[in-house]
Amino acid sequence: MKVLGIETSCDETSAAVADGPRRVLSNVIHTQIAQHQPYGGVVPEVAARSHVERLPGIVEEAMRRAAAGWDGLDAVAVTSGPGLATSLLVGVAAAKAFAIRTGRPLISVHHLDGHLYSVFLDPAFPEPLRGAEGLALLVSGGHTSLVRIRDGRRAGLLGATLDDAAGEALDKGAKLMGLGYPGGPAVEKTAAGGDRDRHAFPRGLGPGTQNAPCGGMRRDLCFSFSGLKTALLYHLRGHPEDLDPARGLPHLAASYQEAVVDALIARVRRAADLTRPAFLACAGGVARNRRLREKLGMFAASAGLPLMLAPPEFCTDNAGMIAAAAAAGLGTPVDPPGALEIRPTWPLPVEEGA
Amino acid sequence: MRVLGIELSSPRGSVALLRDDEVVREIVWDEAPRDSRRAFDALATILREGGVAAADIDLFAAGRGPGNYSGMRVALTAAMALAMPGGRPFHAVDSGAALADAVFQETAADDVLVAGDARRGRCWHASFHRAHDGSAVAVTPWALCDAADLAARVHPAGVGASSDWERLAAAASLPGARGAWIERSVHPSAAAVARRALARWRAGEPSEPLTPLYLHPPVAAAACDARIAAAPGTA
Repeated sequence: MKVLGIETSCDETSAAVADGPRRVLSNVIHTQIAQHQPYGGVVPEVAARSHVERLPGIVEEAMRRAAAGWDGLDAVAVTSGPGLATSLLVGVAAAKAFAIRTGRPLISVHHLDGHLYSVFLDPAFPEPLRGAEGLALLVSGGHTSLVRIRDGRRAGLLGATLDDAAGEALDKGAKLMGLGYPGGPAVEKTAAGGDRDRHAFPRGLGPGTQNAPCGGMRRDLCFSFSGLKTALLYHLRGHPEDLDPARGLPHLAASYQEAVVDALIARVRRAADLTRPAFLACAGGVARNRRLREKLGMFAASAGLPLMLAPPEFCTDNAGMIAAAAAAGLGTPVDPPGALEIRPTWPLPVEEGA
Repeated sequence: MRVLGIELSSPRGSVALLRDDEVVREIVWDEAPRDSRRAFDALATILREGGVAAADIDLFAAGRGPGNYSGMRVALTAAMALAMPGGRPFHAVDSGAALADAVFQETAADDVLVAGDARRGRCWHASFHRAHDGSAVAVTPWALCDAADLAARVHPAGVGASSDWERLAAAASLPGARGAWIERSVHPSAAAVARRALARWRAGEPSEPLTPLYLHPPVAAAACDARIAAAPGTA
């Protein structure tokens, strides 16, 4: 089954062709980082304009690299949410038109299901574990969630961030430290060689947040990063000398990054204790962070759990994961194609009893 | 020669199927920018009623504005995607010129100022002249002006027109202002967009740029500078 996938939920314009659920023939991504860098974050209007301009060439290139003729396609898949409305609109309009033009079914895919499925695109994923119950950490610039996996698909949401996503916290922290955008790689690079224990930053949802609404999720499986960003802001007001690149900045960046990673690991550990998964998985843009990978590895080893990380090329937003997820049956066919609506806000259902 | 046109830049959306210069069917609806689903419903209906498949279309055309951003993007992206398999030609068309075509069909004026509310106290506008064949030819490029200066830009012997008359009239205080205005909305149509694309294609001319006609930068420069300057730690 050959599927053309399209992904424009935020600031990456991507098209891909998957041949079945495990083989991605092409995965073309145009990242808009350079266009958003002057603003220190993603500007929706800049993103939408870029998608319109870039998408035709990206689709043509994906089809060329896959050596897949239009007649050889079996379906068209697209991320219909969650994401930026003006960005989603472009990819969804294109996908609808491709489906109408080719007479192939249109499949709507939840962006996070795509990320979740990306861990199964690792050729080294052990066969016996594909149907097993796992625990996944989805961590990116827009999302931070703990999800239970069963039979290769989402079984339920266990926890999620109540405010900023982890990647967003890294972006905002990087901005406060003057490190530029995107923040995750900038913080990671600056933190190299820094003392991770030099500064004590909060790990989120401390004792003062007992009554924070958690949307039906267990509070101890939820994340909060807004206090971390504020703590950094106040720290810098009192200690501006820590922005000195030669002296304080590496320690500051390392301590800040450690707080983000620790907050993630603590919830993963709790969720693993509760759900007793057969394997641990991590996907999303922040899954490329080396410190996070290292600490996840340490925890997985101590717990005796296989750790499955999304291949780096499928960590950032990409259409390969969308096309493959659709081929694996994770999406929803929409008939007629024109009926598909974008869903900028599309929360995952909370697992009952979690 | 079958031509399919899509026009979504104004409050009134439309999709049209032409066989050569003849309009086989055109579907028109209101509230276009808020309801892109209608565009695809209309597209499916037109193809079904016209007894043709999308693969049978020889030329695709879409209005590129100026106007509603989401409408322009959906129209251009959809037409591009319809044209790509099989490598069919796709033309983007100035929606203001299509609106001017409508004005020249409805009135005896030989000059029209097409304008719209660009918000923030500004208006977008361009002037068109009636050509020998009755079609509109741009005589000024698209530009922004202060709302207070808009009325003075109407040609002394011409008229002003907008696809969102009430909004423009309120923004630019037009009723009673100097110059003649068509005091109701006049819309660019998908049929006019398709006709203009066909004429250009027949003449062997390339498409206009395949991008929406934006008259504002994506981020207001002053706002951008202020945000960057306000970011702590930013040099």
